[in-house]
Amino acid sequence: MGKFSKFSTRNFHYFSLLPVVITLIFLTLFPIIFTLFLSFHEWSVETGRPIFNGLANYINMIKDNNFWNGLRCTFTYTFLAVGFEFILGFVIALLLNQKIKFIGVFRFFLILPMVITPVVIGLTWRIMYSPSFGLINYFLSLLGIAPKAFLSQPQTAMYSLIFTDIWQWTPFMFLMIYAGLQVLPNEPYEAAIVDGASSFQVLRYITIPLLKNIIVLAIIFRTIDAFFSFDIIFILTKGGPGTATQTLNIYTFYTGFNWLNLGYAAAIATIMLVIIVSIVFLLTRIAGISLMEVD
Amino acid sequence: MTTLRSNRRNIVRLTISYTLIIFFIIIFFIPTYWMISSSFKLPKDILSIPPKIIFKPTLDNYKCVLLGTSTVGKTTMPMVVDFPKYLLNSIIVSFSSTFIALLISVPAGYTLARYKFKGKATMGWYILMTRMLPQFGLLIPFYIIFSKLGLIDTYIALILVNLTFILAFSVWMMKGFFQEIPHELEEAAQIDGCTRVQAIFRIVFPLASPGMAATAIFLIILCWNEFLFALILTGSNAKTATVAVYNFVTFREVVWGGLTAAGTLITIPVVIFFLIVQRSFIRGMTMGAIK
Repeated sequence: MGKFSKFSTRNFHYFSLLPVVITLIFLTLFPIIFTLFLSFHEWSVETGRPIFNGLANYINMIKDNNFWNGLRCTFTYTFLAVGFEFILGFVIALLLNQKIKFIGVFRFFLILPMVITPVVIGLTWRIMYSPSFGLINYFLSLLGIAPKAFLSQPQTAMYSLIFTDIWQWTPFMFLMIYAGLQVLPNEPYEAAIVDGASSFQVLRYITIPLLKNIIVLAIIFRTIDAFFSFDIIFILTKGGPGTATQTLNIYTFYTGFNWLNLGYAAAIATIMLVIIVSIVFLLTRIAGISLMEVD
Repeated sequence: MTTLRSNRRNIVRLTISYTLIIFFIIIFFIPTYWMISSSFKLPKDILSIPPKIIFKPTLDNYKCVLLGTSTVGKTTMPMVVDFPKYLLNSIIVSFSSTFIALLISVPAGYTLARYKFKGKATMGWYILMTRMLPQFGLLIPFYIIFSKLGLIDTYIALILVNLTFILAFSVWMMKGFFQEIPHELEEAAQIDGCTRVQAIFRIVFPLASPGMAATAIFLIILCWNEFLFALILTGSNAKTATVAVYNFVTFREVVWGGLTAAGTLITIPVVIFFLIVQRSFIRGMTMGAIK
């Protein structure tokens, strides 16, 4: 082997990671620094250009009711949506993992919600929730229940959003777990049958531990996406009624693009980054795995 | 050796399974069905309650979307010119982004799954962190950079933006799927005389194909449905179908016929991709052969 071959074999790991890491640093370093920098400035319609104001944005944030409301909305949305998506997705993946006919057809129908473009999903569901034109209220009326204005009442608006999110993204959880199930080795299962294990025991002691990596990853990515969910929420409720569904991301949008308070928006964005990084870190700790380990 | 009792238990289990599956599928399909059926309806039929199951179908919505004609039934629709071009833009941008992403992230994922080295944690976490950046933290800086580079309204801008989202996901997903494959298999193959590279291609890749298929599908979907950045960073040249669909939402009303027709059309390329790729979801094909 020539010198370069030896060098590249020994440093293979760096070379294989290089394209990804370089691309990402190149694309993200400036925006990160820029946003962080901006968060210590005030840049609004009055000032016309960024003016340094130290920690003022962050201090104002602590006093800002909309911020805490946004935090609460975001956590409710994320926690409930991801939780249900995981459970449902897992159940469906297990169901389809058996030897059943038409599996291709079933898989096809199940991924459709993810595939439809967000604008159409948002508007379709807006109509579905509509008190006058909506399918949901129509079905309820068949059961004798009075129509509800799902999206215009504070109590139901958030749950309606979550329901739509669950509809759209359970297929993600399903597909991830299903793909993971396909690669599981047969031996542990054969041994379990010989030992007379019940289905539940097999699930708990074999399937779930073997799938741990995939499950944690799926939950992490879905949590990140739900945390930053924007398109659907904006189209369905715009953060309303009032501020009932105004998640942090929606609030950042209004702050930056409606009220043109860019410094403050940058501060909120920065805090959002800190929060989500902490959540992901916590998730890996709870799952008891260090994502950096090699087996 | 199966007893009569376990056969009966099997039948019960399968019946329940099929029932549940069909139940879920119906629920998940209803909104999509509404979209598709509405695309064939005249405006007056789309929003009627009770929902019209039997109706006079029309292709006018599709004619409007594809050809830019502006009347459906007796209503005049806003003109959306060049929708096929925007659809093509979506295809070019999404598939290019996914291809590039897979190309560089599969080796990266494999490395993170198998090797231990200095700086691994840092690199791994930085990659993951890029997925956690708020959209609005990226939007303005990207707009500034791309303006200065004259890349507004180009494919490259959109591909770069897509890469920002999908690389982290792709790397970590592939890492997860590679970790599921026991490294004893590669070692066994190498003992049998394969080089490491041969071991990877002959054993690891086939086993990782369900994972790669799932990842590819998600990457395409993520790129395809990207809305915010496409909206801000493109004009009439590189606009994607996702943004073009918004043309059907005017001040006064939502043009449901055109919207659902466009929505259905947009779904087709991704669905075709899924159908091609889903052949990879074959259960552990080579597992048995190796043993």
